[in-house]
Amino acid sequence: MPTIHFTIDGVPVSCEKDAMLLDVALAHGLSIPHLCHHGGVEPYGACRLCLVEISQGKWNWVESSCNYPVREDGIAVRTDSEKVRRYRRLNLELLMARCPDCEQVRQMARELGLEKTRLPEDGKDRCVLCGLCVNVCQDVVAVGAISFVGRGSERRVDTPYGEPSEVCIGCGACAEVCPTGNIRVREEGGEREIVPFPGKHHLVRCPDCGRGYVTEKQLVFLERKLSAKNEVLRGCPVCKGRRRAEELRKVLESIVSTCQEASDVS
Amino acid sequence: MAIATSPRIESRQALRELADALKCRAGSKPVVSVCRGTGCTASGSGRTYEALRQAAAELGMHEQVEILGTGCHGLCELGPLVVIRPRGVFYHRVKPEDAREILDKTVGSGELIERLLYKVDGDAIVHEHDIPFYKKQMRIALRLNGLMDPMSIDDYVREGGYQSLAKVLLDYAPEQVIQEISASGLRGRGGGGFPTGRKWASCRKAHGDVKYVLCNGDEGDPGAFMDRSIMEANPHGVLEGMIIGSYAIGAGHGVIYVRHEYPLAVRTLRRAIEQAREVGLLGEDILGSGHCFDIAIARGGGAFVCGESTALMASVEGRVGEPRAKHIHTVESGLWGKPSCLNNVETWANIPVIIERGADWFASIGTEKSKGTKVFSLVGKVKNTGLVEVPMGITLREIIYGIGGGILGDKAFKAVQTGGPSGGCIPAQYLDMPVDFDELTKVGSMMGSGGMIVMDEDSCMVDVARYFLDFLRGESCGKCTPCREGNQRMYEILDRICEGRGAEDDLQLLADIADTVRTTSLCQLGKTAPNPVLSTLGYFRDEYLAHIRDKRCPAGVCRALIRFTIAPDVCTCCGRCARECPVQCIAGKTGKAPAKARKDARTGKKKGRVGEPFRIDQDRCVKCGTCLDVCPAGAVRRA
Repeated sequence: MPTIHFTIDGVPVSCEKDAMLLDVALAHGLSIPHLCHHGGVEPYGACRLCLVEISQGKWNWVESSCNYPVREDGIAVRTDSEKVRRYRRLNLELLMARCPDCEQVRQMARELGLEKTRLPEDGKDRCVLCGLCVNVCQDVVAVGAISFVGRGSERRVDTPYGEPSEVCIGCGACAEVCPTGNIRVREEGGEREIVPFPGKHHLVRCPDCGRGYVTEKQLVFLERKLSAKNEVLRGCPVCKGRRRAEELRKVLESIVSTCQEASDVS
Repeated sequence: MAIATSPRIESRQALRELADALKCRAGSKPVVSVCRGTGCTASGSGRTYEALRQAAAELGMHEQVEILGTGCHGLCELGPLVVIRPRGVFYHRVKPEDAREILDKTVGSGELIERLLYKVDGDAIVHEHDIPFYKKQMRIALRLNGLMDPMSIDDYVREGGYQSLAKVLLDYAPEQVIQEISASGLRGRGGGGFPTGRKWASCRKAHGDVKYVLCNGDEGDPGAFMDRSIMEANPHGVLEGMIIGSYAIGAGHGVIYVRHEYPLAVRTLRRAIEQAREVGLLGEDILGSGHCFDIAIARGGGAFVCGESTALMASVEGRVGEPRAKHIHTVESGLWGKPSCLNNVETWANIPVIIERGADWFASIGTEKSKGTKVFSLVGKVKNTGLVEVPMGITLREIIYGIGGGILGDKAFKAVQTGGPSGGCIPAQYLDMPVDFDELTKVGSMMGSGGMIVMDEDSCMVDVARYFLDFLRGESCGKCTPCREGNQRMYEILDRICEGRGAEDDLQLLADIADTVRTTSLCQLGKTAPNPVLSTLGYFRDEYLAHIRDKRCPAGVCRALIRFTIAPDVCTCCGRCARECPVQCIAGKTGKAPAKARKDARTGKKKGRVGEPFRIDQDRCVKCGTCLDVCPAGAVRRA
């Protein structure tokens, strides 16, 4: 892969051809605000906050950096120009109106000197429709339990027909990647819920401590995926860690005692 | 009629012989061509067609005359349209009752039927080509509309169809075809205006054994029907263009994406594909050239955004129709990640003609950077609504006044919106501007796929902007923030202004949102969506200010800002308004108007039943305007 040399905010950087601009910036310790980007998920380009201004010769344009493959030597990228700030600020105004209770959005806005939006704050939840949950479920977990429903401002994330999904394994990857905390995992009475989606998932208890640690469907899914026996996946992470530590301790002790015996003999 | 349907056409020679045989068989027999496009079908051309066929049988003329059902003739306003060839006699608004007379008189003895002739200023025009609507047009993509039965491959072959394909497959190297298309200067007719030859060259160059050729028939603009009419009238023209394209690019498979709302287009295309397969013009070893290509139809669900190339491909793949960033072009990685060449219906329909008549001929039409012709669907407040094909560079005035016949009711022209819902509104000062890709962009609009909506003095430009934003906010796929949220918010602001609740700050906010949506949206839907707002804000700012400052709608359209009143001195106390009012908010007393009632000389009282002028209860009035329409005395005022 050829190497591309260019500058970000005047700092010379280099990367492999076709690397995504936002990844390159982050790898160089530069920060660009973003909501819909996650290292484990393909770039989606939905939130339009990671805007940058790119100059190449006489051309100059604004672009989202998360899905911009760097292909040209010598481009000059500005992450904080007047233009970029203006457009980023307006997109934040739009998001603040949609998600008035979303602290992440407010924080980003404050960093740009924006305290409130000129638009009515009439949104009801903290979902910024970044698509990370849908994409992680569809492309990474490869289950596809949730999807976008509706078009335009009617768009939302939901299970098919708003019914408990038949394919959801209750893994909680969607909650894990949600940048605003709109999706949460709640465990209560031996059951797991992925809020706000409908449906409850029965938890399997850890044979050692008795705590529910994995959903039944998740366990079946993992066994199939890893072609592994139940035994390997048995036990909650805490107990499994403890068991491993115990085994390790025994091994270390035996080594120590062997060493001691050897030194005693000599 | 089915000479061609069974045997396979193996060679160019066979194709030529077939065309000659079909021409010979058609001979000089008169043809009564009935428009069966969607517009005329809606006006009842189906019944007219059947009546003509029946009359021909009854009069024993079915051997001497051919009754032909064709695709759209264009002048939809005057349908059902009938043209009698070879003379070219043009009849409009033809009813089933006229059938016998047409065959008897016009076909039989050459006599004209005065009442069916089209008249301009009282003068009857006999021939189709003399009618101003057709006279100023130049038809390339629509050249066969009206001349052939869309369901018949024989008709297409008779009119010279598939000869260009034979020429390309047997005489040209793929690179030569691309060279020819590049030299013609053809630019994509779907709206973007990207040079077609360059697109083909990139797709040919792209790595990969499997490549796709796609046709975009997802015409989603409200009021636009160019592509539909081409697909319905000349499906083989589109297929021939695609087969030529597949040879140039090196593609083995094609897909035509047609919206579900176009059932007739789907039917004609499906039939055309079947016929082309039967005679071997689709499939293996086409015309003995070794080239293999086949086409499938994919039906869209009616989402406007699926006209965008990447969303269209996602939809064909069975995924949600959502665009993706196009930093990696679809000619490199498109449908199923393979190099794909997507062109619009009209672009494909132009290809066979360019091959037939040569790149130089095509390049001689149009302006410096926009060659050839463009089909527009001319609608709105114009006399001759319909489908027009004009050379690039023609002025808006020539289209609207020359071809369109001017504004309905001879009212004043206010603006024309080109390019579909996300085009801009062009005011009167640009009427003499030449129409081409670049000129339209310069004035804040675009060519788009060819919608052209004419607006007169009675159109409120704020309301117009609101109408288009209402469409766009619902058709935005919702993927990216600016398009999803921005269009919704712009709509809300426009709605507020129309309701008389706008503030002057709103104009700045509108402009800010519009600028951000235009610059930062992911796809062209979002990038062009603010055009109606930006163009009306630019050219008709006064109207916005009248709504905001004076709480007045100058065109008298926005209901919240208009009031209907009855002038008491003009009211004749007939009571018609009160009877017709749907919410019964008009009260008064019928009788003689007080001003007109005569006094009794003895008592001094007025004689007879004296009425009381009617009044409208403003609190209950829904501002439907019925009273204004029905008042015989002109006493109702709108302000």
